[in-house]
Amino acid sequence: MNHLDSATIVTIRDGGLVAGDARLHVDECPPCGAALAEAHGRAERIATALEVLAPERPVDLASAKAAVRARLDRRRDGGRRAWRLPPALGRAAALLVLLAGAVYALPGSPVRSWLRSDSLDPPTPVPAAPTLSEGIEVPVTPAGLTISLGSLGEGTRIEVRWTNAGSASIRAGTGTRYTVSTGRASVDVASDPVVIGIPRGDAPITIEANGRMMLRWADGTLDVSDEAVSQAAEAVVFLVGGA
Amino acid sequence: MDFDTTFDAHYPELVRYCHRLTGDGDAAEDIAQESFVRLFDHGVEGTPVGIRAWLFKTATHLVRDRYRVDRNRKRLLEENPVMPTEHDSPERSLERREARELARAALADLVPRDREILLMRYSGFSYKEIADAIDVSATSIGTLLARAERRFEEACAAGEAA
Ligand SMILES: [Zn+2]
Repeated sequence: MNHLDSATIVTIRDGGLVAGDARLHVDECPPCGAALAEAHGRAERIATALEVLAPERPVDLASAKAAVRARLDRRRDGGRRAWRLPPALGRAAALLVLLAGAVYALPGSPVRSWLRSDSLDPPTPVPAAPTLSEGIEVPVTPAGLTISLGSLGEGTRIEVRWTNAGSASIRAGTGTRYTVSTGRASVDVASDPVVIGIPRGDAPITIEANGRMMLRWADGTLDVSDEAVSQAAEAVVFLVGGA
Repeated sequence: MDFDTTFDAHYPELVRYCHRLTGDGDAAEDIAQESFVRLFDHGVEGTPVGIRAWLFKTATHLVRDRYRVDRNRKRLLEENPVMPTEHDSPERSLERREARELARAALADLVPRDREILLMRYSGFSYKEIADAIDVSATSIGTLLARAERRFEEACAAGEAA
């Protein structure tokens, strides 16, 4: 028989299922025996290389548990009123809102009243399954953008990151509803985490949470509220209180 | 299924896996927590081994969702501050930091599926469990793993030479 391929060698090394004659072959063939020894050596090198990759701070089990319990409680409370669109429909709806936003500012636009009527609601409620929704991208014009986050429960986690794109992105839990008009995006948040990407450009950007100013970027200066729990070069994380 | 027992048994390891997968400590904790929320919210039942595989699979998919946009993958290469541990000498700490940067950059060089296979295998999962988590057939894992290992070592070697 021919020498064994690398997939078979690796599978033998890891105790996986291979044909019986492959095992016999590796015992009797010096080149394949050497390849198996080399595969063992490679596994040790890779395990050692990966070993150093550990989180910088030790895991805080107590606060992680509390965070999970809080999210579970919120999800169970919110489940009854949350909506779920099938993913494809969700995407289509988000796109529709974006397109609608573009003509929203036109006087007499039928879209204006349609958006106000909240007709994005599906006709019948479907139990919510918790996933991050697709979210939306909102163009940022030179006049700037205000992102208004509403319906935020106690302790909602909001992460704001800089992006290199010319648009802002907003994602939150499934069931979140987005309404976009020129210079403004209103987000009815169903569950966290909320992840927002904003461009570090000349356009001023304001993010409000439950009607209060949470973050403002203007004239090259970043102001954040005292709800910010961590602020690094790439991201600011907020834990926002109740209404 | 007891909340505390399950959490204590799997959470630290899951954070570690997510951290290696994303290179982002905050995202790792966030995704690990979301995986547990779904575990309890969906009332998933099983043996500890089955629960562990379910959590890793869910986290793998959450990472995919979050980093689906290609440019987000660049975040993997971003620096996180590295805190030297108290008992490390400055030389030892520098060595560790270099090793860490090398490994992180090499992982970031891999395509997502190679990274998932490599990290799941080196978290001790069987070929069958890996296949289930990443939606490929169990018989192809040997081929995919051999390739992922080779690419990881090539990326490490390229990083060392640079
Ligand atoms: Zn041979």
